[in-house]
Parts: sequence; C-alpha cells; structure tokens
Amino acid sequence: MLGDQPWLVVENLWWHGVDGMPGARSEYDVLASDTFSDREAPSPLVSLKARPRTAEQ
Amino acid sequence: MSPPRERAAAARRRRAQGTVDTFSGARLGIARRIARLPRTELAARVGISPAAITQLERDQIRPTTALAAELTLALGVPSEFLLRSVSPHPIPASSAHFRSLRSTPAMSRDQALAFAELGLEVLTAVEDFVDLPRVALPVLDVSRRDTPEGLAQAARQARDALGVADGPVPHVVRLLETHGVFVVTLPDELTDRRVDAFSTAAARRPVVLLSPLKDDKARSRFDSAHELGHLLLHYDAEPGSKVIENQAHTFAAAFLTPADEVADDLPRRLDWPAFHHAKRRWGVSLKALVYRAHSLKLLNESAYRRANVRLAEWGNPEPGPLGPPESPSLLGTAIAMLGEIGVTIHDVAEHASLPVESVQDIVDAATDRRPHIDLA
Repeated sequence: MLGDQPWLVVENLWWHGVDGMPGARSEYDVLASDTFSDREAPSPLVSLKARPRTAEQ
Repeated sequence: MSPPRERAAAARRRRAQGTVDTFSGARLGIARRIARLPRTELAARVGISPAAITQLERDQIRPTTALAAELTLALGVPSEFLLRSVSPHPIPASSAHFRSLRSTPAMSRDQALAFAELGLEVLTAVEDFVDLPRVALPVLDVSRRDTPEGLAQAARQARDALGVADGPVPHVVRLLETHGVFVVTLPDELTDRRVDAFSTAAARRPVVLLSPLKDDKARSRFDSAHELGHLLLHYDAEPGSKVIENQAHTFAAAFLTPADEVADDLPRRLDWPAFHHAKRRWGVSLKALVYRAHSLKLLNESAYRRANVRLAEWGNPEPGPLGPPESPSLLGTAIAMLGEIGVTIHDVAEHASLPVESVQDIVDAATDRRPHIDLA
C-alpha cells in the first residue's frame, strides 16, 4: 500500500511508535534527535558604522 | 537613405544636443546583459554600430543626450541607471564556476554575472553605512584535491575552520554569509533553467549565485556546499571542466556528510525509511545519500542500481521534501537595520546612484523570500 510512499512508513513509526510497544519509538528516533534543522545557525553579524561614509568621501 | 547614411545623419543630430558626461559604460554593459541583448541587437535598436556599443561600455566615448535616452528605452531601465556607477565590480566571465558551463548559453551566463555585478554595487553602497562580516574563508591544502581522500580531508579542514561542529551543518547559506560570502538568488524572471548555480572568488567579495528553480532545501544546500568547494579548492583553476565539477561535488558530499559521521546513519541495504531519516537528519537529498552510501561502499552495486531506478521513477522533487530552499539574509538584515535609524532604501539607492527598483531587486534576491506571518 505504501510501496510508492515509503516515507509514510517512517512518519507512522515516528508519530505512533512501533506496533505492540506502547510508547516506544522507532529505531530511527536516535537518528532524528539531532537534525540539521534543529541546530542553531548563527546569523551573519551586521552592525551600524560609527561614521557612515558619505558620497563625497 | 542607406543604413550607414542614416546612422551618420542620426549621429549629426545627436551631436548637436551635447553628450552625457556622467554616463556609465559599466552600467550599460550590466543593463544590456541583464536584458539578454547582444551588442549587435542593441546597436540595431538605437541605430549605431556594434563597435560604438563596445566603446560606450568601455567608457571610450560618451553618448549624446538623445542616444542615452534611446539606450534607456531600448534596455527598459530608468534613465538614472545608466548614469555614474559609483563602484563598478566587473566579474571576469573566465573566473566564474558555472555548473553546466558547456550547456549554458553564454548569454544566460552573462545575464547571471551582470546581476551579480549589480548586487556587488548595492552591497558596496550598503557597506558605507554598516559593517558586514569580513571575508574569512580558510586557505586549504589543495595539493591532494585530485583524490577522494584529499577532498575528504579538505572538507574536514573546511568544517573545522568554519566552526562547524560534528554532525549536520545547520544552514549552509548562513554559514557562507557569516564568513563574508555574498549570496544571492537569481530572480525567477531572469532564470534560464540551464543556469544552475555559480560562484566566483574574483570579486571584492566571494559571490555565490543560486538558482530559484531548485525549490527544495536538500538540493539547495548541496548546491551551496558545491559552490563553497569551488571557492576553497578552485580559486586558481580554470572553470568548466568535468574534473573540477566532480571535485566540488565530492567536496560537498564530504562537507555535508563526513564519512565517519554519516556511515552509522546509512543503511547497508535498500532501506528507504532509513535513507529518509538520514535525509531529515543531514538535510541532504535521498539521491545524494544513495550515491554517498555507494561511494562509501556501504551499498552494493545491485542495490545502488535498484535505488537509482526508483529515484528516477520518483523524479524531482523527490519524496520527503524538507521545505523551501535556504535563503540568504545578509543584505535584508542590513537594510532593515538601516531602516531603524531612518536610512531608507531610497537613500541607499541615491548613495549607489541606482534606481530604487534596481536596489529593491537586489535586496529581494539576497533576502529570505518566504512569506512571514505576523501574529502580533
């Protein structure tokens, strides 16, 4: 049924745990615990110049 | 009258009106290339010779008021666009690493380069008001870039030097920007499908230009890492060869998914849920992960072939989208900061001697374009 959409299997495991093990999570929980999108990405630092340069300069 | 006589008569009429001394040849070149007009075509539209267009672009001659107006009209730009470029930043075409150099028409490459040049002009004007991250890309040992081991080592050095902790890279574009790279996304209306992404280290700041057509986070992250590979590995290499492209590709894979870290997450058989989880964790496409598993000899030949058949059936976008592509934010942040102290985009445009629309185009291209919902 999910042959063309294998990721749905993963979603089911992810949200509902493994059959027969209430509250249990899939073996992939460990993998997904540190995803790229969970990590903090520093933003580029931008600050105002103390003395802006004018067109004449 | 024959065309040469017509041209001579038109030239006499124009001369009687005086010349535009503040005319910028660099801007003419940018506008012409963004409009995808060959010199011959523009020359025909305004009734002068292609050689005269070249001379104008090189600032060897000045146009008359009437010719400047005709050029403006032919190129569809506001008249002030062609006046006084404060700080032109020509990017030599020979320095730009285009992914599909041979299959990308020269005109499309030129258009993308011209847009990047315009972007650098805006950035320079903004830098007169704000301090942006200084360029701080590491100098890598590239002596072994012709081997997978050497490239893996270079990627590891790059991660360390750029301050990437073990594990997935959170945001590749932001990482580039924090180290002084100017990242812009080509506007949809200027995008030729064959222009993938490009980078150059030959400008006053390294530039990475991304395609808006890859509307997928995993692919855009890989593109950015690929361009980072060019910036770090190929500053001295002639762009375009398959060897160089393969090196950047291998670098990107090693940078985003270091072998010793990703190996535990990659399956030893064709296990799509496992690949899917690796995709979510590392922010890399299934296709790239399957390739990685195979190149690390975790996936055998037969499973690799079957995986590719499946991937081809799915096509693009592949299953399990990770969301919209990563967007640059540097210029948008700077403009917002200036807005808070009363410096508007009009002020920046005036400072850059550019039309407001042109500055806005660049700011949009270098800013997170996802819609924001304000719940306050």
